[in-house]
Amino acid sequence: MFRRTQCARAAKLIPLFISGDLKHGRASSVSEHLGACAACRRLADEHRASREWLSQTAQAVEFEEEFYSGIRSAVLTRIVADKSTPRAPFFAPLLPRRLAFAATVAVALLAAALVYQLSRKQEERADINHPSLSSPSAQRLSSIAPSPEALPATGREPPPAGLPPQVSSPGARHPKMLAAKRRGGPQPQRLMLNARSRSEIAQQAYINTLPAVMSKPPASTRPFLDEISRIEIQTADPNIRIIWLSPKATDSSDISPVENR
Amino acid sequence: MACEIASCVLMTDDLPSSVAAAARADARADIFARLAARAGAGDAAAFEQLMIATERRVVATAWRMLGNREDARDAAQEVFLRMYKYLHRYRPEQDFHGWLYRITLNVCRDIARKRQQSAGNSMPASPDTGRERDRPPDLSNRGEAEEFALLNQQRAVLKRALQTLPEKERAALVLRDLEGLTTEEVARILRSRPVTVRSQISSARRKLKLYCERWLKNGGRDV
Repeated sequence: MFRRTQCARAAKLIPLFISGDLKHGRASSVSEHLGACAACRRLADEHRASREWLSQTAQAVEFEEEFYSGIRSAVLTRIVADKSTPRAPFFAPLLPRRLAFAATVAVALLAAALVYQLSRKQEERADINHPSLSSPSAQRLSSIAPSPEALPATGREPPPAGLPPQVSSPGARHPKMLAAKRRGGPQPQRLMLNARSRSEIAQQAYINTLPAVMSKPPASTRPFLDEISRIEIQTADPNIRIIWLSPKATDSSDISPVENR
Repeated sequence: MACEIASCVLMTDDLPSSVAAAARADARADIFARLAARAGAGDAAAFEQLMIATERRVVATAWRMLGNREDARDAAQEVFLRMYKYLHRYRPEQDFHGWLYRITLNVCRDIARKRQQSAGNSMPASPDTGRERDRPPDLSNRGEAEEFALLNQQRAVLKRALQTLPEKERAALVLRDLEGLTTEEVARILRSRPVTVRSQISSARRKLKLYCERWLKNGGRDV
């Protein structure tokens, strides 16, 4: 049993022993075993013969000179050709060619969509904050904004003639409105609208442009007030409140009655 | 390049053989490192000199790994193209031949995998034996002709036997027994530990011996 274990261990080490790949301690124990075991000695001889046959048979393989010169010229030609062709993108080695092309196109489309979205948002912001006749949205809205006569009746006491009605969400205090009130001067009528939808925002933009284009109210309707008076009327709809604002009266005032829902 | 190595050999002729061999090896390594640096900087002549100095070794290794002349030629071309592409990564303190062996083994592995995928069989249908550079045998001389035929047959058997080995064992055996590198050098090239390389070599030698015995038992037919 012990002998069989030794032989099994020696059989694994003999291929390394014959080529001198074993360290001193193991080599000497294998050598000692080979001295005592004929079967392992025979195995070692067979391994030596096999190794000798291997080194004789696999001597340096030589091909003809044209073979080697063909390899050199093919390599140099390929190097010159690679230098003249444009290089692939940096991620090309990671992806197959078609997939790399598709990925490039997809990234370009995504970037274009992102830029378009950002420009639209900036445009909207410009329309809200700095309305002017020159803004395309204001010009578009001026053609579609409802006339005062077209506005629905509220069912309440009609406002005094000449006083502009305004619609405001309850509790909304636009900072610019407050600033206008504080200044007390003729200010464009700014509507406090719920900016939930683009139509509301656009409507506000339209309204803000109206003072520039509407005519002055008749002299009889010009109020003689020292400060802005405010009349609030709550409609049946809890979200809609009518606010009447009467600005400080001046002759050159470009205050105009603004009527809107 | 050839004259540089030749002059290095002449200079060391008077030294003791072991010292001379070591000195020649160091000088050769230095020459290769300088050539590689020049080729990496764009010197086409230096790159061609490197190819001439290493092509036989690269082709021989590739042929032993792949067992096929055409595959060996394709592998050698790919090895030199990669050598050109990655020369800028080669550091002068590295062993140039070890670096080149690593490239060669990687290329052979890639070609063997492609061949497996396309053919579904890692063994070539009829591996050639490689034409020798020496003069062809004199067929009128019966002894020489028989010897030549026997050698060719043995080489075919050897190639078939090598193809039956797993890739790592084949690489370890080719580098250690056929290229003559030490176990430590083989471990460095294969990025493995010496004990692992010894185990792979031992297993490869046992399998090779077994294959040859069975081939002989079968009367010279495939196992």
